[in-house]
Amino acid sequence: VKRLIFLVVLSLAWLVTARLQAKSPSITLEQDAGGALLRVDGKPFMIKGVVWGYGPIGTNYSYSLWKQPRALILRVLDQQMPLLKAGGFNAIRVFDMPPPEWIQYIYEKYGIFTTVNDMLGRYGMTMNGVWIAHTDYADPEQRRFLLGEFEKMVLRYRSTPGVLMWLLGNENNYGLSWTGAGAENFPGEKDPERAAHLYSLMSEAAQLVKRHDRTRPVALVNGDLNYLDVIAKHKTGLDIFGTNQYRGRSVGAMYRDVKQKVGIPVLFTEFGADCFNNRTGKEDSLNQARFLHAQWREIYEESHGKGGAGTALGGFVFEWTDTWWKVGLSYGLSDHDTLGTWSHPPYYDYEDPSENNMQEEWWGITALTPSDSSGFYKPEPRTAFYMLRDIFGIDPYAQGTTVAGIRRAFAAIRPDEYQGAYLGSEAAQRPALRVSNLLLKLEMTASRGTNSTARGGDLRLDHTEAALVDFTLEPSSKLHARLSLSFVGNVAQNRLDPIFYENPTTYEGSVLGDARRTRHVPADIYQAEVKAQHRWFNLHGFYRVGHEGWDYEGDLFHLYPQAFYQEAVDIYRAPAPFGAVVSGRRAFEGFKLALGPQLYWGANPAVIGKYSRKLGPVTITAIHQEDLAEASSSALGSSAVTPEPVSRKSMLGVSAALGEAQLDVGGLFAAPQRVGDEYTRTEPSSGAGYGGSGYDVFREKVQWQDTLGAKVKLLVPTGRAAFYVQSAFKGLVADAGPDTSSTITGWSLKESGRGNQVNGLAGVAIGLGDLQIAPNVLYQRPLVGPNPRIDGVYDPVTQTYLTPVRARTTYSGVTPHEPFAVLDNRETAAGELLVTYDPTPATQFYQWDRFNREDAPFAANVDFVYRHQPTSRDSEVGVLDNGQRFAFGAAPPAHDTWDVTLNVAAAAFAPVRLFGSVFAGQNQALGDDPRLVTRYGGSLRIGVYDFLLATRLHLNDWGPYDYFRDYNLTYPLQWYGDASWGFLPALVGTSQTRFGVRGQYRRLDRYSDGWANKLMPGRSGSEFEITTYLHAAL
Amino acid sequence: MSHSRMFRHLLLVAAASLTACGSRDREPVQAIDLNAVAFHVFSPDLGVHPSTSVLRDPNNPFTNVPIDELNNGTPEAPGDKWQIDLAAPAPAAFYAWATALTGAPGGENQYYTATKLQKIYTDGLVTTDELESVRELAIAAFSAQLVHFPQDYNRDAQGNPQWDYATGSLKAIRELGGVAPAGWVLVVDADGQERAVNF
Repeated sequence: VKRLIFLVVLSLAWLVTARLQAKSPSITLEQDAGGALLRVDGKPFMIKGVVWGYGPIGTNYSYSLWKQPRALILRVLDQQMPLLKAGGFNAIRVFDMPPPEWIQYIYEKYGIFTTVNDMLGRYGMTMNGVWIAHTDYADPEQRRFLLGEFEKMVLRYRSTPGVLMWLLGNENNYGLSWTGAGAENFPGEKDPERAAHLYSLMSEAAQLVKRHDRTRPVALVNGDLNYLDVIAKHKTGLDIFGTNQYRGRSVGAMYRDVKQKVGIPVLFTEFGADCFNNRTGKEDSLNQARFLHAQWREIYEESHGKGGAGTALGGFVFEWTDTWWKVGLSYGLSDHDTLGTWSHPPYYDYEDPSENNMQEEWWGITALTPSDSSGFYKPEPRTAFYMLRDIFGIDPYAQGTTVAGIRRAFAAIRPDEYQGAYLGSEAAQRPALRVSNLLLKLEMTASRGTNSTARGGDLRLDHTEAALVDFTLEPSSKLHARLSLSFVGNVAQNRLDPIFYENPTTYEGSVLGDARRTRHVPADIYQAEVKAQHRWFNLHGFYRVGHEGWDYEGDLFHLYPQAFYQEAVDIYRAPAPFGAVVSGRRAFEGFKLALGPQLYWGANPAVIGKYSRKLGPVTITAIHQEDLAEASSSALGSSAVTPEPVSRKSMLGVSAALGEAQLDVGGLFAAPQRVGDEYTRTEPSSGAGYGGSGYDVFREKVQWQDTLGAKVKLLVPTGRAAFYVQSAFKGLVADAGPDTSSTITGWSLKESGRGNQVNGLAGVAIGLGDLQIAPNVLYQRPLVGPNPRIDGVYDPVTQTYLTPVRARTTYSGVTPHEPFAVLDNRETAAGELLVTYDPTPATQFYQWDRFNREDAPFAANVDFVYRHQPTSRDSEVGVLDNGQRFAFGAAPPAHDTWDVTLNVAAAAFAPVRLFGSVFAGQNQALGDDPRLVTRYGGSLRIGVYDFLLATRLHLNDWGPYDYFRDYNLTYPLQWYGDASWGFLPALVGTSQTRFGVRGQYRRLDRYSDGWANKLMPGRSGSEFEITTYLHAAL
Repeated sequence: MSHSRMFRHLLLVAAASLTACGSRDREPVQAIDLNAVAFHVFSPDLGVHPSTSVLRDPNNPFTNVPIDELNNGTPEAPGDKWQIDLAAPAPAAFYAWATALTGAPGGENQYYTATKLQKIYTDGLVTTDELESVRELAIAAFSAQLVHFPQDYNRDAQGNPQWDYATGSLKAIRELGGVAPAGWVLVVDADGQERAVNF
């Protein structure tokens, strides 16, 4: 029987192999005196290609067609590939690589080839569990890793019929200079030494292909002609010089230069033009067609046997459809932005050459159209598509074809004659001011408690109606403004969690002792944003819209931190962040100015200026911050942010590249306004001490040296053991900003921004295959410790009064307040162990939208943090029901705390996507309650096609708002569940149409908010809520 | 630069930084001698809500005392202001009440602040030059009680209303020869008691 099975398997394998081999066409590349010629099954083959992709409006880079239901994939391919075929296209280049079965399907059914493309570290990589943002091609270990991953790809695809050729990278030479993943101005040849390492790796990759597949050519994907001399030295194995070409109508002497220096044929792996006219501020599909007309004519003229270079093999037009997500990446996905993002004079649709005249969202030769409920849409061909259909009808290799003949044929194809075929996309016909997004929220809520709760045992029904409407103004490509208005009808007053955007707290007319009151705001500004470009500067204005900080631009003390917290500011309806940033251009390059009432949540109204200048390997950054007033406490909303005293801060930082390492050194000068201010200091007494308290109590004054701070940080971000070490000293009042940056990996243990401390941190991330083990340690100590509580004593006999001592607060709304305090800068010796298993390098496990993006079959991390806190701290600020703030008079006693979190992401069983977490921890309240809380819980989020199930269970944990931890209010059990269905797969952080039901249940005891059985403290209560909802996004 | 050498440099920077917080002038906090507390008219609205000028008054010994210590308490351990009110000299008691008033505005704190000003005036605890100013301050303080906290009552330890501050304030204004805010008059109720009413 075993022999029979073996023979059957062998026969099947032979049949399959034979079938594949029979279907794989012969692809050869020939060079002769006439130039170079690609042949498929012996026939000359010009590559008439397009960079193809699929993504419905409202999705972004995280959307993958290949993870959708098979029926949708078939529907898309059977609609789009015939269109491509009818347009004369014979090859596609795809960034979201199709699985082999779909490449074969596209080829066998429609005769269209696909290129297989490995980015080879262009956008960073995770090697041995360590994320490396910028690949170091000189590092032997990284080279081995990249080649190993590439070899897996070659082995996976080499037997797939329909694979045209192998592509190496994607303009990786630009990656040597660019800092982000998006398009920037072209950098030129700035670093020939690093380029040599890059191109030698490309050559090794090409030779690797030859070992496994001698049937297909290998092409480099270079950015323009940069480093041609270096490439010439490392061309072994390369068959084709692929280049992403954006030189406008003509590439000039490019073919001649490549032929002379490298001697291999040329393929445009990207080229084309955007179809948005920066000068007129309108869609211009005719202009796009004119560029493509000229570009293809040149390709034809430079093809084999025409008397020129003869080395043009064809090209891939960039791109098939528009991509509406490219500006904003995660925001404005349903809006077709017209703001220019980079400048490129060869396209000359500008009034000034420095203008950002390139519109990244407008490169399609077809326009996007709205999709149906399954995510299916039909792209609308633009003028260029119809024109190319006729151009591709010209056979460049027909007998007797000459340059003159090509010119005549192209002259007969007039782009303007195809304009009528394109009726114009919906986007093209839109006015300068338009409604760009509409979200309707209709919810019905039922809730009830038991008799031991303040809610009571009666079932309460209520409903909420709300809407968000986005208006977009784009009078020109230099100005983009968006105003998002919220409209609220009835608001349910029976929700278990009563604080949410539509139900804000009012502080007007409140007096001490008032219960929380809500106000009905029928219409309000939800968000607003302005982006404008000027010859000398770019402007970004924002109101409740998140923004990046300057953490990675030399801001060593985090004076302008990043500000992304939409969910939190929505809950408390906080008007933050609010301000504007002006970034200098041309002569003012390096200058930035931020100003506004609340640049980040909790910030005082301020102006912050920055200047950075690079001098060789050293970058010098100077920042000055000037607070204009103290933030109004009612503008902050939550106790998590407290108004800080008005101050003035200046920093000077130097960042130096030391080979693979980066060294940052900086100095801080902050809050000179506090010099001379008095503060209370307590020290353990050798005797009875002050009032018999055991402490001696002193009054001291802030001195000028208390305004100074210094910091040094050494970072080695790459390698098997990436590490950092840093230390800082910050004088009593030398407060810096909150650290929102990420160092190496997803550590949660970070330096406190507060002054009055000396600290040191060090961490190392060790890669062991797909596993990363990352220990991290912190030690910090306040220069002046916290104050204990010492009650005042009045002696009527002697008529003396011993002034009481309290935990300090800096909040000016409290008397007395002091110039500094010990809070998150309390004495701490902490250790963290972060272990991550993530086998997919391209998607970082620690990104906020990992549910959308993580594509690993299974990825997980566990993070354990232990904090040894030998002393207590000063006073936190709390918020009363009526919004008034106060300082707790004391703090919980010194106690160690710990937290452990396990996160799991799984995409192994497509189309099921799963993200879950489990946590446990022992922590203290933020107020003065000494009860230590040991809490547990977990969450699970499962997406299956368009269905989403999300649930959370918390045991003995604080409630959902900040005040729960302030007052140490816990629930024995809290459960949340949400099941919904939408037209598209659920995406975190976007507006989508979804129908669903969500439920909430919690048990209450004497520590819970809303528990009302003081006569029977041992008795618990419970509450539940069920809400059905329809969120309709249009 | 080797990593170990770099680390040594980091430690040196930290150590050098620590020296910056060395010895400094300090003053031990001593018990306040309430007999030595003198009253002066620091500002024309001293102790009159919503003014907080008393917190800047150099004569005020309570500027560093937490308001809750002065103001809050329990029936068993009332706030310090009550103990001070009972036995301390009027100037010290004034500063205790006036300080509490800034952080906890209310009829109780305003009324007792005013009564201490009245006592300073009637007992002549200031120089002759300042006496008239103190009288005006006392009138202003009682008037502030009527204007800002007209509905407030004196309460017992259980929180039950005992008597209204408005009547006391209005009577005091008359005793001091002042003019009450518009609309306030004394009427006799059904029990034959005088009561302040605002028309």
